[in-house]
Amino acid sequence: MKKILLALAIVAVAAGVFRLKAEATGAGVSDPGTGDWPMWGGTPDRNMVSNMKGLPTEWDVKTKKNVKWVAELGSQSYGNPVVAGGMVFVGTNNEAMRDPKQPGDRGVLMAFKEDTGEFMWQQTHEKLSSGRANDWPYQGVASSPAVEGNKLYYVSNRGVVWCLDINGFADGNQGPVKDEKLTGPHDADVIWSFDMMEEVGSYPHNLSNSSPVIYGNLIFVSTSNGQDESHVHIPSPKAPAIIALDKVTGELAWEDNSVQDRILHGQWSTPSVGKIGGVEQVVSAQGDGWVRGYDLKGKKLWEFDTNPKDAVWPKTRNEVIGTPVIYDDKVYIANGQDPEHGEGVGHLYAIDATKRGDITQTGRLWHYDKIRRSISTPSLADGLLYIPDFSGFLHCLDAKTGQVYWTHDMFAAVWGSTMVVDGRIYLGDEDGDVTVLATGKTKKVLGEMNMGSAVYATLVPAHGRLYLNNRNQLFALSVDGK
Amino acid sequence: MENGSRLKAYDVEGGKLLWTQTLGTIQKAPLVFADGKLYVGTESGKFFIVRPFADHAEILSDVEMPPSKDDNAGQSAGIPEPIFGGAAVSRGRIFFVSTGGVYAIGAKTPTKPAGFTVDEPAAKGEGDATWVRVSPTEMVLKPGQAVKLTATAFDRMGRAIGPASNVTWSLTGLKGTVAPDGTFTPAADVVEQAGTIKATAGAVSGEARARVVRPLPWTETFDAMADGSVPPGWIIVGTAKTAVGAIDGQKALYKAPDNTIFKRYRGFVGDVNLSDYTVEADVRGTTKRRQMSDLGVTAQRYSLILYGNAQQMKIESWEPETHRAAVVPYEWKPDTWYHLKLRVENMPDGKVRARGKAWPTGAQEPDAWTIEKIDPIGNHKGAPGFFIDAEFGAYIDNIKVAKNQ
Repeated sequence: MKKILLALAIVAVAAGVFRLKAEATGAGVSDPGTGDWPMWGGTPDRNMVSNMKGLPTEWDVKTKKNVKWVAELGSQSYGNPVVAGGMVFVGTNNEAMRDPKQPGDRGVLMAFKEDTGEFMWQQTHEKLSSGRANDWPYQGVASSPAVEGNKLYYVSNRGVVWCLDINGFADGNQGPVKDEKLTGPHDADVIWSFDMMEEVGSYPHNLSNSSPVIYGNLIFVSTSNGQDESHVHIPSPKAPAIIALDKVTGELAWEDNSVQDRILHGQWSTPSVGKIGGVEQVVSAQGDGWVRGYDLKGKKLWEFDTNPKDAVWPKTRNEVIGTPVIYDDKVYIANGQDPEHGEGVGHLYAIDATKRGDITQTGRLWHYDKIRRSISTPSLADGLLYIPDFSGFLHCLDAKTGQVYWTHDMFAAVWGSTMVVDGRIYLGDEDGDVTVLATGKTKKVLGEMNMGSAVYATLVPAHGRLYLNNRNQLFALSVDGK
Repeated sequence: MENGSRLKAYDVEGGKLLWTQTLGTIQKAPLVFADGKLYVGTESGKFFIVRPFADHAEILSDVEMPPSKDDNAGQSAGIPEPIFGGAAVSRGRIFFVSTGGVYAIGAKTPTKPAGFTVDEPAAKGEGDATWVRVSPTEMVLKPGQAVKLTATAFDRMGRAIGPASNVTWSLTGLKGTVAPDGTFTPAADVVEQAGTIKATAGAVSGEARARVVRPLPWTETFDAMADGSVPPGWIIVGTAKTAVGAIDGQKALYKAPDNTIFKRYRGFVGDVNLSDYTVEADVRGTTKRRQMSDLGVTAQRYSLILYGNAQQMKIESWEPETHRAAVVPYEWKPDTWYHLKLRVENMPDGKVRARGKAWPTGAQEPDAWTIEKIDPIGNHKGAPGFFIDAEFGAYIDNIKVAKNQ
């Protein structure tokens, strides 16, 4: 039996490689193919899988076995690392202050050298004076950057979309922005910025966190527009849920506000892009619990309600925090709630996004209601879907039918997502444990390693290493220190 | 218990970790120890009885709660009822609360308690006084209304010694007199003032606060007040960056742009025991970043509010209770004055009726009320005031409070 499974796995991997080659220029690729991991999910479809080989399956942060390097972050790090241009970029807070001239509570984006973990440069942002309503203390930068060429894009804790030069000032001061106040060797070279609060009226609830996605000439970002601290009032119902910016100039290309004043709480899901039924689409889960698809010019193509009609916020009606994944002409998404709201019932869907209009009924390929509230993003590989929920259950389903093959109890809350690579599933949890399981229809736990502090992030594969941050440290993991 | 629902035992002497036992995923409930066992429920919806040993834990009982019922949603398929609270132990039985019910486990009939813990009498203070309490400590008074204050000395442990001796009284921010026996009489000719009354006994002292509020009816146009001043005793107003200022050559109360938590607040003016009265005011909002102010007046804990973005008029006693609010559409513009009128009445049957209307300042008052809310379990008294939610600034003027006609 084992041999058969192994053979199947090899075929599946081969198919994956083929898919990568066949669609190297298209949107169906679920691996950057370069060895980099330049954005949340690696590719615009956000599928949490990689074709990489030779990654470690065990390590020990105490003895440093298979630990290449460790870099100090702040005290809380909710963003996810990305790897590109020989560097690792990650958001954190300012509790590991790198520059005494930039003191106090701030959101921080840090850049480290990929091979050594050497600190390269940072950009910091003071907190908004509005405090918890818009910018929760000590949450840092929670956006995972997106990198293309020498340019890096992310959203700060102040709701500003930034375009930076990944080389800092080492290659001169890139414009149009040339009046940076801090121009030292460890400061950030700003190319342009776009203030979503000022320009489109966003009133982010608790924190702006969107992870940008780049496609063609545009960048897509959700605004995080939401309630004020009364938790019933939407101060800015005319602000969009999603915007598209010109990646060169930072100018607003289009916006959409189908949600209006129906935001249940905040808007913390992050958009995806992919080709579905031959049409390039931006897919965005929004504050009313609906998922919407747009063409690249901002025309709304479809919308799908992830909640049963009789669900009641906040008991049974959910928001969407996880990221929609585009795979095999379908959209996969689970709903859930702010971790502060605790555990509850959730819903996971496969959506046929070739349909148009309100596709809540017509586009629902399957619905899995045995999941709890989830803020995670699924991995789809070889016809199987893996997704954890906030209650700590990892679910393995048939991607075509929604049939469940197995579940695994992590015995800890899960905020991050699975990473499927080389026949293994990696998943971290709030107890700081990373569990490694075998892919496939049969559950098999291969190991569990503790990172010393809660893991809210997702493991990232790049150039034969795994990168992972717990709350206060960034780890580069590789076999025998490669 | 950890927040991650891991039960850990430590050596009391050295703090050495003895063992760890995972019970669930997320934990809120504390442990209760009784009869040699630990009783605890988890947010994951299980109740455990655990016998702790020096080197391990033995789980004696592990019971999953029934699925949560959610009648509001008509959904029965829920997660096991989460347990957030600690268990209580009484007469041989264990009581605990889940989100779905109260449970008792143990003997069908209660056992007889073996003994009681009795509160000890309050300890008498001794030694030097370190603090003086002035009582009553918070007062709302009418002009000229006398009140007798007492000063009590406390020792360093917070224990009462007795009446403070050789007390001298002084006033800050208040016009009036304090007699040697502690009788405070605010000046009869000052209609509105606020400040503190201090009792000093040797090296220690204490304070009480008084607001002297004007009797009905009253009108405030702010014309006699200095720019930048805050009317005395208007609660939260100064903190929320609101002060007298001029607009179009006329004085008004100006809420400065503010994105802190005080961008949205309720200001209260006067007596908290008022009932059956009418509040009027002119309000003027602003708009920026696609957002428009929300402005209103308050009477007897009901607010009549114009919502800018929603273009609605509401009467509500607490914004989050959306199901209890009265709402009607109302078109209004920024940078324009509107007159608001809110009347609240206690009805003979115990209900409370609140009615409101609004019109552009200077236009004729409409005959009919625009909005009405009958509150079956109503608020029967409360101070007049106003509501402002204006990150980009707002004005309020000509506040008028009068008994219902």
